[in-house]
Amino acid sequence: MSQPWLRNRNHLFALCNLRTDGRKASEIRRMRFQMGVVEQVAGSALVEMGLTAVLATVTGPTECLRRADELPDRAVLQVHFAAAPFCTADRKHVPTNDRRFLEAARLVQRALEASIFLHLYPRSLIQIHITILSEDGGRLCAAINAASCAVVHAGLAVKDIVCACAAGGVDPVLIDLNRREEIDNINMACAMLPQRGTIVLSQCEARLPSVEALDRVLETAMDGCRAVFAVMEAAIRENAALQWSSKRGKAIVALSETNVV
Amino acid sequence: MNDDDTSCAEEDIRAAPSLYTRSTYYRPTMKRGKILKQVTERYLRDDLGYGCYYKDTSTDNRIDRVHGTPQIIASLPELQRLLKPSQPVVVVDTNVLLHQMDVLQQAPIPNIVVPQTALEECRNHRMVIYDQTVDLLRSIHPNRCTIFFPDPYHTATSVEEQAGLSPNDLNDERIRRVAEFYGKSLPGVSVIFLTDDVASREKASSRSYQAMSVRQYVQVLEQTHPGLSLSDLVAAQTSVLSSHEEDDEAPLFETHLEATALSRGIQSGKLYRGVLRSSDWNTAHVTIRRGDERVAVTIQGDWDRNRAVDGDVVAIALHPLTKWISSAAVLSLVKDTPSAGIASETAEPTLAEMSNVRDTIAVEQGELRPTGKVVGIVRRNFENQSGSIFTKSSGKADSEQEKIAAQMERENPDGTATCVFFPVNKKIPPVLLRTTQRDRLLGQRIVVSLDSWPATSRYPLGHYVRTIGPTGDKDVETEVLLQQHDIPHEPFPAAVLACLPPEDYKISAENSPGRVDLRHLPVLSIDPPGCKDIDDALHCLVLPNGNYQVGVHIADVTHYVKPGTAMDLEAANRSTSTYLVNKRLDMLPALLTTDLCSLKCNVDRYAFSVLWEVSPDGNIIQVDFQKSIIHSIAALTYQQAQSFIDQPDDPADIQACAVKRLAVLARKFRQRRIDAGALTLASPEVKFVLDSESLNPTDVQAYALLEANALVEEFMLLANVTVAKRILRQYPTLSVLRRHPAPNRSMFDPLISKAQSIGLSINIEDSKKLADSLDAAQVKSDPYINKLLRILSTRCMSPAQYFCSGELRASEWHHYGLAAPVYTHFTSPIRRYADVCVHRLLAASINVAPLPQHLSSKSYLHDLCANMNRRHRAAQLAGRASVQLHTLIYFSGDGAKEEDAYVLDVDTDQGSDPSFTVMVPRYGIEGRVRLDVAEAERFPEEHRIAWVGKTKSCSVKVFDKVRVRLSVRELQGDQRELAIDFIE
Repeated sequence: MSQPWLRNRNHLFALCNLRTDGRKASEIRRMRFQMGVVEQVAGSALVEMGLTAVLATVTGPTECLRRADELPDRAVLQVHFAAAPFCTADRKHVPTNDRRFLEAARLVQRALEASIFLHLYPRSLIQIHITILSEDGGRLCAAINAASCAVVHAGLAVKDIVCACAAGGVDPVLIDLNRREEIDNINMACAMLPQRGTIVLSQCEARLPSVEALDRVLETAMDGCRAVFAVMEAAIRENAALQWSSKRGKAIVALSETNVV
Repeated sequence: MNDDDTSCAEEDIRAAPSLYTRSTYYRPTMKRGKILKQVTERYLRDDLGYGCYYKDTSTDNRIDRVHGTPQIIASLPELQRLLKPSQPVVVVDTNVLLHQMDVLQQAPIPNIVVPQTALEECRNHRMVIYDQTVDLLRSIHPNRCTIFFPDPYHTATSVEEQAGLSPNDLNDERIRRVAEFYGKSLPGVSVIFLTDDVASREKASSRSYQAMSVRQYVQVLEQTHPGLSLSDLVAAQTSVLSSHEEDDEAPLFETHLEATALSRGIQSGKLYRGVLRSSDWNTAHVTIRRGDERVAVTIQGDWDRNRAVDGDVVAIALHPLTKWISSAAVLSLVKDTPSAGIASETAEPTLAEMSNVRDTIAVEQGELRPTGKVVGIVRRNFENQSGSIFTKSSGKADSEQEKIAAQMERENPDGTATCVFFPVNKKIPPVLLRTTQRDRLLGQRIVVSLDSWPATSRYPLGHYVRTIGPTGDKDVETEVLLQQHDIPHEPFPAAVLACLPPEDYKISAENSPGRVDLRHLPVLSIDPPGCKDIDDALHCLVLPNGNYQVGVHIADVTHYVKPGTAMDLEAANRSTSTYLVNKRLDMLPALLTTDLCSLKCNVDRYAFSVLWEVSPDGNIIQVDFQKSIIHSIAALTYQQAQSFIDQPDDPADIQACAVKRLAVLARKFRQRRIDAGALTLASPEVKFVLDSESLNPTDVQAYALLEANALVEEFMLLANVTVAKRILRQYPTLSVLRRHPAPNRSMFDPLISKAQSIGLSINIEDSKKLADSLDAAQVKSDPYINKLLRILSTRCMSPAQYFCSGELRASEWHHYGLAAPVYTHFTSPIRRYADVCVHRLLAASINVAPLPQHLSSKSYLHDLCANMNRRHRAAQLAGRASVQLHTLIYFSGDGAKEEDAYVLDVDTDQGSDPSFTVMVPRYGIEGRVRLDVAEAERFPEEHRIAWVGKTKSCSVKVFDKVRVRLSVRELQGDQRELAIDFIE
C-alpha cells in the first residue's frame, strides 16, 4: 500500500508503451509548416507542432534604425519574442520584456547566427519577430523552426536550415514533449544544422541523473531534429515549387529568391 | 511475435499517426473561479491490435525475478492463444473495479479486460484500487489473462464528445464500445460486460455481448464452483442494505455534499480539504492549509465527524470562534481499558505532533484549538481491516461489543445473516457484514473490506474478504497486529528484487571507484549477540602526534539503493524495519540487510566513514567524511567488548586496545554531554527467551546494560551530531533532522505532585535541572524508585520526530533529551530510511554524488518526514503489541504468577471504581488493578486510597511496592486478556 507521494505518474507508459496523448516514445507530434502567411514582410512562416503554434516574420536586410548599431562587416540580427495573450489556457497579457522571452530571443538569435551568412549583408539589419500563438510545450523549438523557415522564405543566404527538437525524460527517453510532459520530466531543447551534424544550441534546466543519460537524451533530440528537417525540407520545397509555378503563371506576387540547400 | 521490437528506445524517430482528435474542456481555476479553456490533443492509432498484456521477459528462470514488459496483441490468432480456452472474456467497468476488487482477485475469472477509461476513472477515485488493478494487469499468472485496452487511442473504440452527454455517460459508452469490439472480434467466445449500473446494462442489451451485474455473474460462477462462498465477496452497496433497513428510517447523520458542491466550496474558501486522522473513535484531526501554513483542526464527536473514517480525504467547515476549545483542554478522555498491557515508553504523540503541524491558533483570547465538522468526503480510505465477529451471547450482554452485536445482528430472508465485525484497529468503527457462513467465521480472525456508509446506518457496511485463521493463534495474531498497525509485510515485489545486485556481486575497490581504501584499519563492530544487520563499526588508532584517530563506519546502503528506483520507493514507504518478538520485517531485501550491507567480520564491505582526530583529553581537532571500503577484523558482542574493557592492559591485543581506548574517550564524551544537560532515561523493556523450535516464550529477561552499550551509543551520537552539522551547513533548508521538543509543563505536573508525596522534588526548568533533580531523587531503601521516576518522566515527554530543517525555525531544531542543538540519524541506514536520506545529503555535501532531485523539494521532504514519523511510531507500537501477545502466551502457558509490583498511579477521582495502576518490573507489564470493593477512602493530596479488604484494612500509596497476581482471563470467541489482581 504505497503512499500517494511515492507513486510513479507515468502509469500509462508502463501499461501499454503509450504516452498520455497516444504517441509512442519515439514519435514527434504532427507538424505543419506554412510560408508566406504575412505578405507585408520579406519572409514569414507559421509552424505548428501539435497544439503549439508559432508565427515568425523576417524583415530585412534593411538599414539599421540607428547608425550606432551598424556593424561594418556583417548584418545585425535582432530577434523579438512575444506571446499572444491567448496562447495559454490562462488568458493574460504577457509583457515583451519578460525575462524568459528575452532569454528565448537570445537563444534563437544565437542558433540562427550559426546558419545565416551575415557577412553578406554588411551594415544592415535583419529583424525576426516571433509570436507564440498557442503554447503546448516545445515553445523554444517551435520558435527556432519557425524563424529558420521564415529566414529561408525571406531568401537570406544560409549555411543550412536550423532545425530544433526537444527530448526529455530518462527512462524512457521521450521526444518532443508536450506541455503536460514538460511538467514532470527533464526537458532538453536542441537545435542543429542537420546536414552538417552540428549542434548549434542545447539547453536543459533540469538536473540529469548521469552523463550516460545526457548522451541518450541528446542523441534522441538530434534524431528528432533530423526528423523535423525531413518535414521542413519537404514543406520548403513544396512552397518553392508553388511560387515557381505561380511566377510562370504571371501571378502578381512579389517573389523573393529561395535559397534551398 | 516479433522479439526485435521489445525496446522502444531503438525504434526510429517518426511522426505520430495522422489521425488525431482535439478535445476542449473548460475548468474553473482554483483561486478566483475564472473559467479556463483547455485544449488537449490525442492521437488515434490503428496499430494497437487487441490491447496490451504483460509478457514475461525475464531472462533467467529465477521465480523471484519475474517481471514483464507490455506487449501489444497484434493479431487475432495471438489473442486466441492468450485467452484461456472455453472461458468467457469479462470486460469490467469503473464501479466494478472500485467496489468489487475482491471478486476480481479471488473468483475464477480467467480472462479480464480492463479498459483504460475505467482505469483512469478509478485513479481519480481510489488510488488503492488503482494500484491493485495495475498489479493485476502487470502480474504474470499461468491461469489468468489480463488485458489492458487503451480505448481512447484505438481507432475502433474512440468516442467523440457529443453535446448532451455527461462525462460519466461518455465513459460508460467508451467501456461498452470495448465490450462490443471484443464481442465482434471473437465470434465464438462469449463476452460478458460486468457492470452494476442498471442504465448501462439496459443500453447494452441489444449488442453482441452480454451485460451482467456482479451478483448475477457470481451466481453463475457459484454453480460451477460450489463451496467457494463467492457471494460473500460481493460488496454491499446501499441498495443491498434496504432488505433489512427500512427505507423510511430517519437518517442518523447529515447528508454529505455532492462532489461539485464540495469543489466549489473548497475553491471559494468556505470549506477546507484535508486528510482525517484519528487516534481513536472519539477525536480526529484534519490538517488544512490556511495560506502557507498548515493547521490541524479538531473534529469532536460522531455528528461532526459525519461518517468519516481515519485516512479519508474530507471537506470540512470550520465552526465559529465561539465553538473553538481552549488549547489546554484534554482531547482524549478515554480511560485506559481495565486489561493490562505492556508499559509504554514515551507519551502518546498527538496527531498534530506526528505530522509536524500546529493545532492551535493564537486569537485575542489566547491560544485556541480550531474545531470543525465534516461536510463531505472527497475520497474514501476504505482499506481492508482485520478483526473478528462478535455475536449476541445467550445471557445478558456485558461487554460493549456484545451490546452492539445484540442491537445490530439480523437474519435476512435470503438465508444470509448480517453480523457485526469489530476491527482490531481501534480507529475504525464496527462494520456490518452480510454473510452466508457466519457460524464458520465465529472465533476466526477475518479480513473485511469496507464498502459504503449510508446516512441511515449507524455503522459502515462491508463484505468478507478472507479468513486469516483462528483467534489466539500466534501467527494469526501476529499477522493481525501487522495489519492493525498498517505495517507493510508482504514479500518484496519482483520489481524491487530486480534492483538488487547479483548474488555473486563482488565487493572490491574496482567495482566502486573513488573510494578510500581503509582495509588496513583494525575496524570492529559491537552489537547484540545474533545481530544479522550490522550497520556500524568502529576503529581507534594512536596517531604519531599522540592524538587518536577515531572512525565510525556505517554500511553504505546508498551504494546499492539508487534514488528513485523501485527499491528506493519501497524503502521510503516502509521507512523502517520492524522488530517483533518472533520475527523481523526488513526495510530492505534480505540480500542487502544481512549480507551485502551488513558489516560482517573478515570480509570487505563498502562503508561511509566519519573520521575524527581527537586529542587525548577528548577534544575534536578535525573531522573528515569519506566513502570507503573497510575490512572488519571482529564482530564483537556487547559481552565480549565488556570483557575487553574489564581485562588488564595487553599491548599485543589490537582489539582489546582499541576497545579500551574507545571506552576512555566515550567516558569523556559522555561526561561532557551530561554536563550540557543530556538526560539519562530508563525503559521498562524486557526481552523474551524463545523456544528454539516453537518460538514460544519460555522466560523473560531484563536487558543488561553494560558499559559497552554506552560506548557504542556515545560514538553513534557523536557521528549523528557531526553529520547533522555538516549537512546543515550545505543544505540549511533541506536537511532531514530529528528534534525532541521540550516537554510541556502540564504534562509533568502529575509526576511532580506524586514525587512530592514521597518527599522527592523534580525540577523541569531545563534539561540540565531535570537531569540533576532525577539524579538526586533517590530513596535509600529502594533504588528502583529512581528508575521508576526516570521511566515516568520519559512518558511526560513527546517522542522525538523527524522534520525538514526548512520547515521550522532554528530554535525549534533542538533535541531536548540529548541536549543537542541539532541532531539527525545517520548510523542505521539498513533499518531506517531517514538515515538513507541523510547519507545522500552527506554524499552531496562532500561532492561524491549529486543530490537526488526529489530531495531538493521541501514538500516532498515534509511528506517523507511525516511518513517516517508515522511508520516509526507504528513499528514501535507493533513491537509492543507483539511483546504483549507473547506475554499472554507466556502466562497462559504457565498459569497465574505472583510478582512484586510498583504503584504508578492511584485513582482518586470520586465516583470511579476503586482502582490503581501498577507496573511489574519483572515483565515490563503495566495495568490497572481493580479492587473488589464497593467503597474506598481517597486521599488525592497523598495519592493514596484505603479500603477494608476481606481479611484486613489496606492502604495503597503511589510508589508503594505491592504483591500482585498475574493471570490470563478468557473473553468471548477465544479472545484473551491479561488481568492483574491485588494480593492483600
